[in-house]
Amino acid sequence: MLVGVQLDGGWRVLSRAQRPSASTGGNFSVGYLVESSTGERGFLKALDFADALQSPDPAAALQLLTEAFNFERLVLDRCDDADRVVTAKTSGTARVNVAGRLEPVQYLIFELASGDVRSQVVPAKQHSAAWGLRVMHQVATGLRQLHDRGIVHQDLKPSNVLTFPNIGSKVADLGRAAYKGHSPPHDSLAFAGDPGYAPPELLYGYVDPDWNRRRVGGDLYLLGSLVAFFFSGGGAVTPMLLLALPQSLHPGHWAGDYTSVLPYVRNAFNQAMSTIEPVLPQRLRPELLRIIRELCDPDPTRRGHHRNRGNPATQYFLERYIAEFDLLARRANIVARAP
Amino acid sequence: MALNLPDQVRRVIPRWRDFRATARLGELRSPDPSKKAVSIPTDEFVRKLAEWRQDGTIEAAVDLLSTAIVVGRSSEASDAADHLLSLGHNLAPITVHLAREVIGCREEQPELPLDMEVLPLEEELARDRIRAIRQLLGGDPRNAVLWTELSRAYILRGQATPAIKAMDRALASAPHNRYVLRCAARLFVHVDDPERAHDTLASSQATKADPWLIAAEIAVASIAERAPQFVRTGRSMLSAGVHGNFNTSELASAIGTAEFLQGTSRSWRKLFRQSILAPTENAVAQFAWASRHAPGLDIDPEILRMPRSYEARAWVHSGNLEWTAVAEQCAAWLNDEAFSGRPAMMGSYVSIVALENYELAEAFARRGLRANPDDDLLLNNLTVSLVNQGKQEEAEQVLRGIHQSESAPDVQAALRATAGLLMFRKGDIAGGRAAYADAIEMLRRDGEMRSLAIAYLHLAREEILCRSSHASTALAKAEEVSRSVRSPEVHTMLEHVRMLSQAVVPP
Repeated sequence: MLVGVQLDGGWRVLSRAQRPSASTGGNFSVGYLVESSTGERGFLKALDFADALQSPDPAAALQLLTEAFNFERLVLDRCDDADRVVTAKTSGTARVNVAGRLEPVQYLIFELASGDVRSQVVPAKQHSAAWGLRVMHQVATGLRQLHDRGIVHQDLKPSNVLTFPNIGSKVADLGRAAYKGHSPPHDSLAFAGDPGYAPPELLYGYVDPDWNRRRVGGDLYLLGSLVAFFFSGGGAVTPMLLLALPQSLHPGHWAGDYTSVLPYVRNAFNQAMSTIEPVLPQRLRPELLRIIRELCDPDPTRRGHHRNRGNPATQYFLERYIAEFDLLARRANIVARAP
Repeated sequence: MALNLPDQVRRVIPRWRDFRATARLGELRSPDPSKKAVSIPTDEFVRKLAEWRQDGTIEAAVDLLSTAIVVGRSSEASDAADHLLSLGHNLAPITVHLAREVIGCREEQPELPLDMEVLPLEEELARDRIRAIRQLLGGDPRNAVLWTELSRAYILRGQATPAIKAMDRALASAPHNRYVLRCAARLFVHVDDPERAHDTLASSQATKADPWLIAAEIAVASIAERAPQFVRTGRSMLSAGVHGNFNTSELASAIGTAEFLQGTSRSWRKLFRQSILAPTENAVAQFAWASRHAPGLDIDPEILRMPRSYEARAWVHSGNLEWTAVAEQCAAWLNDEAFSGRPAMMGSYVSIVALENYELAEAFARRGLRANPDDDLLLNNLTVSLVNQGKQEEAEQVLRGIHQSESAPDVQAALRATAGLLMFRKGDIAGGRAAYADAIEMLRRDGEMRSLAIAYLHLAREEILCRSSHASTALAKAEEVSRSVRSPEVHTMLEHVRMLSQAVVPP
């Protein structure tokens, strides 16, 4: 639809991207490759009216789409100076011919990544421990930058960690984010992100009235799951946990409250950890296991660094993990260089 | 002489199986029908499935597996799992694990009957299991389910003190969890502390809203000889009928039992019938017990098909004089609730009295003694089985180790008779005869006719075997007493003794 269109700011749409934007926020959106007048390439995310018009209630879908888009732009504007978050270079509205009529299409242009981290992680763990720890350091930093601005990601997963040549990794796709004091259209959903990575309490429909526990605590879980995925070579915590849980206690089967099912979920989490533990890199095993356990504790009130526990003001702060990833990455580098 | 527990009273004390088995039997489901399970959106799964079909990359396949497992649509991701497994060594072990789990889902055979899944006792008893659980707890000391499993592993080895300590930790971590509370109640009853079992249930804020816990509270209160606190609430739950028949099966059974034992109301019959509309195995066993004592409460053979209804089946087979089947069901029951002495008692008793299979009786008694090393009834039955195998020295050693003065009157009588049996076999006929006379006198005072008949039958057997001139008198007396007893094993033993009498030619 947009291919060949010349956009404001000298950007030209080159081709349709292979996939949507590799994100949950990519629902009702289309991705394109774009190039600026100076030859810089970018990724364009445009609203997909065609999809919205085919939905059962087009008017509602269009309204939702526009609200979601505006909210994402608001969040991205707020993160403009966050260097570990993929932010929008520009945004605008193009006019395209839809059935003989010129219709406005809103878009966002992002810096173009070389890919997401999955390609480095899944095929038999090709990455070094030092690289993995550096990525974790960068992701945790990106997440903290969001949290410092009152924003939570809610959909952190391997496909949303993008890599950039000479820069490293950044956290991408704020299409499902929450922003303190604002109500995005997806705010009413029990959980906004990908269920494959979601914290268990959200799968069971538990809505903690405390913003920090519900939102920031959820992000901590996603970060811990990412650590598990990275260093186990593909084992996210949520599916591992559910595999260890008897079927009748799964979300979707369990009709009680989360507090009642929590002891069973905790037991399944423990079993998942004992499956993940032996495949973690041996030298880093104790530290990584503790970090995953702390970040992914099935009880959101117990998440966070053990040294911050008991202090509600700092419980979900990521500083200590950022420092730990940094230290571990440095150590791993030294070990790798040793003859 | 062999002895079994009297069958007069049975209560619906919760079974204590391992966590996975309990969950599979459906006993951990939420009882609140007003709540519905959250439905997990599947749009992300659909998108990933399309992405995998379009791209066919490893990354897309792994992403799809994770989401498929979580949204419960693993079978639709089996192509991706096949593809991943075909890559062989290029995959991390954890991805192979996920792919196999997804394929396992596709290839899932019809579920094995739960009866086949009873853990072998040896495995449960292994010291390694305690070590393995402790190691897991090191990683998460707040895991109440694991503390409960540890407690069970200890009690299977007959180690009550560490079992109680482990259960205390479980209760501290999850004081209102149904699984933990019911297991704790069962443990405290097992270690002869029904008051603590009752305190634990009565003090939990979860009990008043949970029919499973109210059922346990009523049953345990009866053992502790206390007034149950939640009968009225339980009755309201039953009348409202909103919790579902399965969730209230043991509740109906517990209230029915209490009323039946008190004899104050006529509604127990209705309650027992209500208890088997969608019963648990424990409710089936309770109904089978009630049907042995209450005329007109007939057991439908269909409900015996409930998974793990070993206890109920054992009793029904016993009524039909199918003694080998009784022993088989007792063995399965012992595997299912391996710390309980009751299946070992019944199994060893039937093996001696009805089957005359003393090796089997010894095996039952020894297995029961692992978790109940001081149980004098099991020690008595072990001694009888040893004597009958010619292992007099060993039998004497076991008998000497029993603190008879602390035993219940019927067990004291049985032990005296067993001492008589040993004397007979060692050639001290007069001594044996006197010991049996003591035992018979004790049992007569106690009024327990079944045990009295068994004692007479054992004495007659010994008189016949030693070709004594008292043999025919002893047999006649045994026949006379047996006639007044309805217990089927007594009549089977009487038949055996009669046949023995015909086979052994007097001097």
